[in-house]
Amino acid sequence: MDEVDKIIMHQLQQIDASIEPTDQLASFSPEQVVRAVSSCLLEINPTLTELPRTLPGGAMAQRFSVATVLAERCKESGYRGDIGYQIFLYPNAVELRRLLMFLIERLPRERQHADSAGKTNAFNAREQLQREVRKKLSEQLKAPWVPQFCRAVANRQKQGCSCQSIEFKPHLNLNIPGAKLAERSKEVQQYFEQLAPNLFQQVDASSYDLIASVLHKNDLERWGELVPTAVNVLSAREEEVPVTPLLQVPDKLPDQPEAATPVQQMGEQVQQLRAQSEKLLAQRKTLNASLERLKATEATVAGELESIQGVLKLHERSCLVLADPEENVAKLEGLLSATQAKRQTLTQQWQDYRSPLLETLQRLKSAKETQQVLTMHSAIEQLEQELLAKTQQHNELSVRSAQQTQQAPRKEYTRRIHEFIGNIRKQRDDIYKVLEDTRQLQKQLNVVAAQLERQFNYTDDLLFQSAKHDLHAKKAYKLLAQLHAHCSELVECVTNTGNVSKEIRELEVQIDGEKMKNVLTSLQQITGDINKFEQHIQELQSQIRTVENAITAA
Amino acid sequence: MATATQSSTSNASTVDGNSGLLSATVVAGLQNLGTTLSVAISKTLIANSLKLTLHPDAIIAPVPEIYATNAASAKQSEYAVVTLYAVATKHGWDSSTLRQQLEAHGVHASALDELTRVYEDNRKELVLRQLQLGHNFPHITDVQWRIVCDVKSSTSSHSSGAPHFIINLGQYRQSSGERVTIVEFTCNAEELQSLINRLKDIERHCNQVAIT
Repeated sequence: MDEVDKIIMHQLQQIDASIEPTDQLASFSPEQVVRAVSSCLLEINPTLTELPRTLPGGAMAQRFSVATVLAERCKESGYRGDIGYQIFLYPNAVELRRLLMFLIERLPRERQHADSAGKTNAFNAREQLQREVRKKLSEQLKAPWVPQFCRAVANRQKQGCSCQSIEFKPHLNLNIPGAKLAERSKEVQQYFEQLAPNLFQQVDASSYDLIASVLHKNDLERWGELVPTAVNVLSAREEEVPVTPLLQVPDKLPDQPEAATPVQQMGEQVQQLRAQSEKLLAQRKTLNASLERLKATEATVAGELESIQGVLKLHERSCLVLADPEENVAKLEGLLSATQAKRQTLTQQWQDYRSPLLETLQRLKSAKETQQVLTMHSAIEQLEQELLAKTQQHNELSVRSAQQTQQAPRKEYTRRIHEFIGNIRKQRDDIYKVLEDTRQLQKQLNVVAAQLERQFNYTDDLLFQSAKHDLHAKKAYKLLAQLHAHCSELVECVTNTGNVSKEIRELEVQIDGEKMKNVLTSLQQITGDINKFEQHIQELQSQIRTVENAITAA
Repeated sequence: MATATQSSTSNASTVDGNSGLLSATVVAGLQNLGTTLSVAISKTLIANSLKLTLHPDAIIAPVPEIYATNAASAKQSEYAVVTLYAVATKHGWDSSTLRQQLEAHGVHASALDELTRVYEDNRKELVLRQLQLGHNFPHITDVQWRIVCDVKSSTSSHSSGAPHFIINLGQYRQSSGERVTIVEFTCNAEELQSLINRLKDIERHCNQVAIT
């Protein structure tokens, strides 16, 4: 059974690393049992929520309820054996083994594949994400379709109802009275007092978001001095909706005609200045173009000038040489001979320098070869050392791999399972043989019994007929009858003994089974728990009594 | 004690860092509360502003008494309160930071208490409201279509008889329930078929991902 326990331990370790491996299932504590069984159940059915994962330490009642819940879950997942709270609170090895084997067989295949591929429990972040996506998708595929308006209701919200989000769309030209009261003219103040819509009306009328608009305006005012005015104007121009009536009001109000003229004047001025600036811009453009043209011509002229100067210098020199030809030729020849002599001395010097250097080069070359040999030697030594280290490493690794193969028990287990199967086959054959033998024996027995019966009947008849006349025969007949009765008694006794021995054997087997369940220890545990319960009940009773006393006293 | 002093110093430093977060208009509006505007009106104004901030789509009855006496200041203060809460939520101030901030700007004591209390009570809702704000692609929740066909008429001498589909993808606005067209296009039978097949591909892909 040790192998079975090892397999179970191995599987439990892979499911939940927090389960500490023990050598035998018999030494599992109730806490470990609860942890292991709940982990298995969760792995089989991940949608099980509210599954207790740990056994509470103190109160017996809570322990009892946790154990009962787990037992029910096990039954729901199809366990047919006898199961109840006792298997968790007072575990015995045989029943626990049966339960865990059942649960491990029910584990999903995917997990086992992953295990067989050598992956341990540590999923990396990406795989975990993929798992989660898969889970979400399968949940959503099962979920029924819900119209858009119902999506904000209750628990549907978490299933991706992002159409609820609000576009960040600020109102670019909020009209709020400014900070400095003194700068507001009387008319503007009046406008703000009476006509201007408040903040919420402004935002609501043009379906902008309130918070976005407010944040925008706040930041604009904070950085207003730093941002060039052009940007403000641009942003204001991009707006589609009609500008709030602030700017139009002074024009429209008929009882303020003097306000209209300066505005018109300013407008005309702006028009004039704009025309002027356009004109100036055009002029500037033409002037720029002519400037560039002039620059290009200047560059070409400068290039030409340089080439002409080079030619001029050459011409001047040749003119000087041609002025007095004979003298100049003699000078040139002298120069030539002097140069040749100089060259000879230089070659001589070169040779003088070169020969010793060549010799040293030769010497160094030979030295280099010896050096090379030395370096080769050292390299060989190094490599030998490395080889030694590598072989050592290899040995270590092979030892470790051997250990690991011992640890990885799959092959070993399959081999053993094959052995078991072979053994079982042999045993089955043996059993068949024994059965055959028994049958033949039975047959022989039957034959012999029938023969005996016939013989007896025949003898009986014979003696009975002769007993009518003969006294001896009568006695013989009586004796025969006695013999027959005794014999049948004997046969009965033998069969009874056989039955009794069979019963004895069965009882022995039962006794062994009961011994395996170590009833004594669990009885002790149970009595301990009962004592605890009694204590608890007594405490409660004393509490009740005190309360009752208090009530009566009151 | 040591921790208390530490926290106060850290708060002071954050206040120094945050001191430029409110514009002059906002500060002026906050200073109006409890001074230019009476304490009672300030209270209703704060409550009203908060309600309108938190429920932009709800229909909330107007409160005319806010604007009865000093309308310009009230409008300014409304803006100031909304901005204050928006900035405070954006920068994740707690109520003590808010209090220090307001104290630094010399807000009237009663208004200060009210503003801090309201902020503390509604901080979660304000955060949730601001979390919804942002830019996103439109979600399509509704499809409408028409089958159209050109026919012989006074302007065209013959009819091709080929049907076309005009597909309109849209959504319903969350607040008002009106339908908004996001994209409208026309296609012939083959194009429509390929579109449908692509959509089925999406479904198949989802199934595949969910099962394996």
